[in-house]
Amino acid sequence: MQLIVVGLDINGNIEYVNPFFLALTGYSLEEVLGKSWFDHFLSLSQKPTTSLVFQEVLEHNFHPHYQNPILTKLGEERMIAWSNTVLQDIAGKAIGTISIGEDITERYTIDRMKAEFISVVSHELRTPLTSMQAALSLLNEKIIDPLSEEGEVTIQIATEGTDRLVRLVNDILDLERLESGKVRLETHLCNVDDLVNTAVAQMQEMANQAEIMLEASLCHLQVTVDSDRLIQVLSNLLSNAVKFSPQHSVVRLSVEPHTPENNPSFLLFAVRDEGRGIPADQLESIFDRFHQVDASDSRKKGGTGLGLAICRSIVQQHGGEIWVESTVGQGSTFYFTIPMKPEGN
Amino acid sequence: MTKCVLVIDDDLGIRTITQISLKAIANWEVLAAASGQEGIAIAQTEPLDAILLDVMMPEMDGITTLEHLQANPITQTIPVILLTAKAQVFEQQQLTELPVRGIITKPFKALELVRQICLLLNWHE
Repeated sequence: MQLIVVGLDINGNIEYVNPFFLALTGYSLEEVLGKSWFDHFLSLSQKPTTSLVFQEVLEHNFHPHYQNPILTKLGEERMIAWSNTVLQDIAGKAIGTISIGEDITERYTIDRMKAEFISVVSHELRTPLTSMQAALSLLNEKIIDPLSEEGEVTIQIATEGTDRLVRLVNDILDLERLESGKVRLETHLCNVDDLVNTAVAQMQEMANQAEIMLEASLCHLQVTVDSDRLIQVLSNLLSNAVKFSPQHSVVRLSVEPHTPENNPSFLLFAVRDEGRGIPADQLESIFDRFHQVDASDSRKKGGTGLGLAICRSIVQQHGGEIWVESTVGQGSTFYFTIPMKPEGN
Repeated sequence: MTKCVLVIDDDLGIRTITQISLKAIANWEVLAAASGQEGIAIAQTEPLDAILLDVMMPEMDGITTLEHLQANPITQTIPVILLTAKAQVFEQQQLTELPVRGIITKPFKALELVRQICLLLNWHE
């Protein structure tokens, strides 16, 4: 592991840096020697706190370990974990500091993502658990008569909470298995029209209830895929389209060969709805875990917030891509590609 | 006198079960709002003894809703208790600095919910 070394004088000006520091930040030695550490390597928001820490290191030998982000020449932030030592003259008077730092940017980012994920999962698990626990405690403590009208509502709330929790746990485990590579695709040559018809048939009842028409156009081609997983993607996209479409509108599923210039052939699937659409700034993040256009969508629409993340993982494992084009107020089209020739062949 | 409590939560299951619990156990009148905006509107017109406010809601979250309630002379004196499914220590620490009477962590049992509300508001059961 390479470490960076920075020596500052009592005013916070740079007296020494090692070659790894220069490599990490993109500066030459001439560009940094004598310059203020706080003006050149810290963002405006970091400057006051870090200046205070520096003073406390000098005056009281506080903060032997400290971490803060620094800016590279290109303006990129790198998170550094520092070990600080005060330099003293012969009389014991502080004359500067020497700090050894480890670039922990990747570890820090992963830790932060992990904390965010735990926070969101915790919230998503606790919400149905709240309905379940409160409902069951009302029945268990005999506060509510299960045979009364309120009792029926209470039992229904507990049941819906349980269903939601089961869906959520299943989706979390499914996504985890897919992303960790523990699930191997079981690919075989399939008739594309059969896959499309199966997915449409699975969603037909839901569409009927929502009074939405499902239309599918067929392509009479064959492709090597994991049929169950591909149907899972199609069903998920159709289900979302139905959920977010107005009554009496049409959801269209189409599939056609697609051969971009100088690229191998793909099958291009498209699921088009006439729903409320997705704002431009969320067209990418909608495929992230628990990232929905409206955070309450999962509760209102009975989803888990993981469906599109699962779709993306399945499509990517087939060597394809997934994306969405949308106009707010007019509708969205989810596209995904699957190579006509499976990867590795 | 019967207490009147408003529960603001975007989750229909939690709104309903909270209403049933507080009514059945304490015989309080319980109003419900599915969003911060709806809750603020009710708080301006109804004589409330307390508000149970969910922290994580779409569009207007609990913190913003609280700010609106605090900024309005009609609603600023109504005691607010936060309901949160965020259970990590650092998440709860952020909430303790807010002008609220307390925080109740989800999930909760029906009886415990009434007890905790009474405790936080100094109400006698």
